[in-house]
Amino acid sequence: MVQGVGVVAGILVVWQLASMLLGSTSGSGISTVPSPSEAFSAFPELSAYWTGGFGLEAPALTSGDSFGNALLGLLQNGVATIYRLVLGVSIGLIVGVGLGVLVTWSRTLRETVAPLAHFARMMPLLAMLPLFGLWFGPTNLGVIVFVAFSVFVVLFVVTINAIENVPNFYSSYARSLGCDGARMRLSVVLPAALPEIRGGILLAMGFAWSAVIAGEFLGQESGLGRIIQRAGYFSQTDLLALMGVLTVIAAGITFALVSWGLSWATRWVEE
Amino acid sequence: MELRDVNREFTQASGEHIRGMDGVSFTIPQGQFVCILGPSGQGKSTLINMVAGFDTPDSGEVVVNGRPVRGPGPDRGVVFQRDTLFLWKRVADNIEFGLKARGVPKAERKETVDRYLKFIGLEKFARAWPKELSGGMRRRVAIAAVFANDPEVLLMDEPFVGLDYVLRAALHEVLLELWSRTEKTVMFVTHDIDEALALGDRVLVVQSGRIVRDVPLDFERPRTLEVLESQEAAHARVAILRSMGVPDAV
Repeated sequence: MVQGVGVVAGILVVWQLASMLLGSTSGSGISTVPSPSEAFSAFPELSAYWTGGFGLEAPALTSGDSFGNALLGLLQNGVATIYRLVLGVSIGLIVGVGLGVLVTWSRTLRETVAPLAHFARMMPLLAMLPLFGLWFGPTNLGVIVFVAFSVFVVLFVVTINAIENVPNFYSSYARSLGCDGARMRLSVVLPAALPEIRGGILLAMGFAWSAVIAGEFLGQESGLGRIIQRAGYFSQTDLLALMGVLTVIAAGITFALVSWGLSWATRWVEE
Repeated sequence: MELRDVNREFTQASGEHIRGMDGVSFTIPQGQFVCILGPSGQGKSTLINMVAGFDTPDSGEVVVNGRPVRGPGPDRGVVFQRDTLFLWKRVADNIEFGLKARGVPKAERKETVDRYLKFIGLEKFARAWPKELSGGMRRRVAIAAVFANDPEVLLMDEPFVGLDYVLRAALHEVLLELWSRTEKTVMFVTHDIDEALALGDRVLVVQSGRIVRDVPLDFERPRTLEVLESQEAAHARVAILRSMGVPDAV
């Protein structure tokens, strides 16, 4: 706890120094490296992203900046992003792990698909984004599918590897008890592989956050990525810095939740 | 259970051929407790793998209860040398696993699991994970899980290796009690002559992939220390040691 506070304080100090030493202020009053205080005082600007709802009205364009409206704006767009992230990760997880299990069912299939899957892992994901933009347009579905795809590529490969590393004696033992087929895959092979898949899921969470923010650059009407994209368009460096911090916090929270869930699911593992 | 002229050859990475099984034939009557004894790497595990169905003979046949063996099946339960308990299943779920896979109705499963948990004295650990158990407790669960699945034949591949004498004696008692209650055929692989004498109705000595000696152990049960010290036991012991190539003068 004390260490955590120390690290945060340290980051703020380095950030402040960087702003003072490296930053310059342009003629229009924009600082190229905004200081922490400049970034945090950009918070009310988020009011512009609150479009109303739940019986509340959107603020007036010129005089609506307030802490409350900014918080609503942040929540509204944060929820939109998290919604896309959760759906995308869930789909990518189920399809990636599911296909991994199916492929490893047959030795021939596994040996055919595994090299292809490793090749797919090398693919620069963000370079694929325009393709998804063309396929789906600026729709929610497009972002969700892009996130799902980025998670799928990681987990498919990780699952195949993890299942290959499951010791043979588990399936021998299960077969000698009369267990086979789908029951064997789901109640023996998959749980035995889970501790190794766990690392892949955490890795995929990082990819998923990149994917969802980048996906929202493509003409989305809401989301943290959209705010970042607009702030960039208007050269609002202070708001950009703030959004960077807020996104890291949001990603950190999702990461901690997933990590906690995975620890619970693998609480049987021997230390 | 019957083996008819079973042969199995392995090719090593060096290209060298090794005879894992060399014309092995024997019959084990229903309900007999047979110990397969021999030094390491002489074919004991190959033998048990053939009967379990994990490995197939190059020639010859393995027949269990009138049916030739084609792969593993629940009629032949296996207790492995290494711990194969499903770490992600609690103790009771480990014991229930085979019953569930074979589609035994729930009420019957629960009754069986409770009976075996009680028998091995681990009722309090029904909801524990395997990692929370000691080595001896885990062995007891492994035996219970296989017995609960009600196989016709029990195959045990050096199940008590690495445990101390006292613990081992306690596990022998559990095993023999279960065996005498269920009257199952047991094939017990070991390299420990004392273990074979304490458990078996009969000892088959394996060397270089062959059965070199078939020694009946007709002395009484329970095998108390007194029984194991008797003339009869001593004779059997000497006969076994000779067949394993131990010279008279050491």
